[in-house]
Amino acid sequence: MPEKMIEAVRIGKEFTSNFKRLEVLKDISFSVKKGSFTSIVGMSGCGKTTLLKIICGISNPYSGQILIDGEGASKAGRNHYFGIVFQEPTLLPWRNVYNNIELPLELNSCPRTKFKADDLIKLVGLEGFENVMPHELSAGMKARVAIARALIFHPSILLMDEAFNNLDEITRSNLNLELLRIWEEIRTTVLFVTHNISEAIFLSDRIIVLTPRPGTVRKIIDVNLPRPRNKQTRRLPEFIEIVENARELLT
Amino acid sequence: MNLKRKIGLIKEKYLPSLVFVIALLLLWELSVRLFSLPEYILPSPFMIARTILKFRKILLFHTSITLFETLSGFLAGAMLGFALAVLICMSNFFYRTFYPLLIIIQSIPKIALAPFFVIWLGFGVLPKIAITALVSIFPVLVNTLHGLVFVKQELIDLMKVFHASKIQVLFKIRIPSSLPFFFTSLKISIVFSVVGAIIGEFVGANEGLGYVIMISSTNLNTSLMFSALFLLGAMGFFCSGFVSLSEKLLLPWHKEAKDA
Repeated sequence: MPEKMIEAVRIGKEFTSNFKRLEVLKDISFSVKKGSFTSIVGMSGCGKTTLLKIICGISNPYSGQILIDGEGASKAGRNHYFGIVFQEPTLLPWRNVYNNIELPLELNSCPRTKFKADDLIKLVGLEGFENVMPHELSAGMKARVAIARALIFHPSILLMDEAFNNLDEITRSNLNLELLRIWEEIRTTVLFVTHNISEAIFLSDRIIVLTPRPGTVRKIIDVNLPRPRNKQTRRLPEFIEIVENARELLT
Repeated sequence: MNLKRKIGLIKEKYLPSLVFVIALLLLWELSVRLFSLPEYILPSPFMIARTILKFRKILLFHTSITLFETLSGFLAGAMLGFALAVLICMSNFFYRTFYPLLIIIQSIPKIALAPFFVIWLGFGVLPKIAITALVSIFPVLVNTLHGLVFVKQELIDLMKVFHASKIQVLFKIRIPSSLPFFFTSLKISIVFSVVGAIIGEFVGANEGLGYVIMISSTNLNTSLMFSALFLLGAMGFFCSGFVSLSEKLLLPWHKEAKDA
């Protein structure tokens, strides 16, 4: 049964700085199906990252309600529903690849099923690099390590915050394919934040287009392109059409 | 082959400064001879070397005293500085209580405090160690605190997602990230420490290289003064070399890891 994994109801968020009120998010509602791949697309500064932080329960306070698998976000967080990948790989430079991936395991004993670090290394294609230090890795490989680390607790939801932003075009499209392969293997729910429209459409079942600040939902577009997707997908007329439509919405 | 390359690298790294120092010494020696300067104004490097050899036993004793004061003060200052940095980083209470006071103390020239330490702690090595510790504590405290506090927000967020405790964030993220800053501050502090020990000896002592400089200056024994100066320089050089070396050995990841 395709149930709702994430349900956001009228989310709003304000920051106050220097006595000025800044409304970042306003009245955001959407839901994400279990096991689906959803992207949030919007221009820089529209509060995409803030929205992710609210969903995984590390940003308080906010107005509205987040339900994760039917539960409140803070309760869901305690059960390790989340894995997160940031724009920067944020690896610990004093730990090798293997120990970076295992870091979350050292933090607390938790009842969730765990992946073995070895299996994850195989899954993200880093065999043979277990003992390599982060500064010896390319940007693309660092991103792979960050993905493996996020998956260690077998998260119900994988959050990715512009994870491939700092990569060159070729590495980026390679990692897009890799991410889809990984996702198809573990079938977790993915919420992917990006400002790259064609990347979002290439990856996702649905994209949520946000308006500039204050961020609010402009439109939710279903992407009904066939899977598995590959390099040819980007050349399909349907793909190009959706990209053009989404681009109209953002400008 | 490998050894050859290593020697080549060392040559490339140290040869220019070595050549420069030797040239400088030669120039010094020549001008002293050329202008026939009297020894009490400016002794030549040769005379200084002769003095060091002549008084080697006494000089060795005084060097060991100053070295002991320097290292004890440095270690005490470094440990205290690091501990205070961790406390201040971990607790808002400590931050609000101690930090303003520390800034005030830091802006007092520590040299001005040296006479007080002599009054309180006497003429032995203790006041020198205290001054040295006081001088070396601040660079360590300020730098380490910076390293502890300014950790990438994303790393902290990551730890939050995995429900890490404050202590886990401290030991797994903050302290390791602060170590490069800590070592940088040690390099500053070790040099300050030598200065601290000498200041302590200037104010009141009956042993140590600072004492040697004071005594030989009243006797117009300039060669002996320069000998003590040379030994001080050598001491500072080797101490800071040791700190740099231990950084390289203990933090091999730091070298190219700035943006990992």
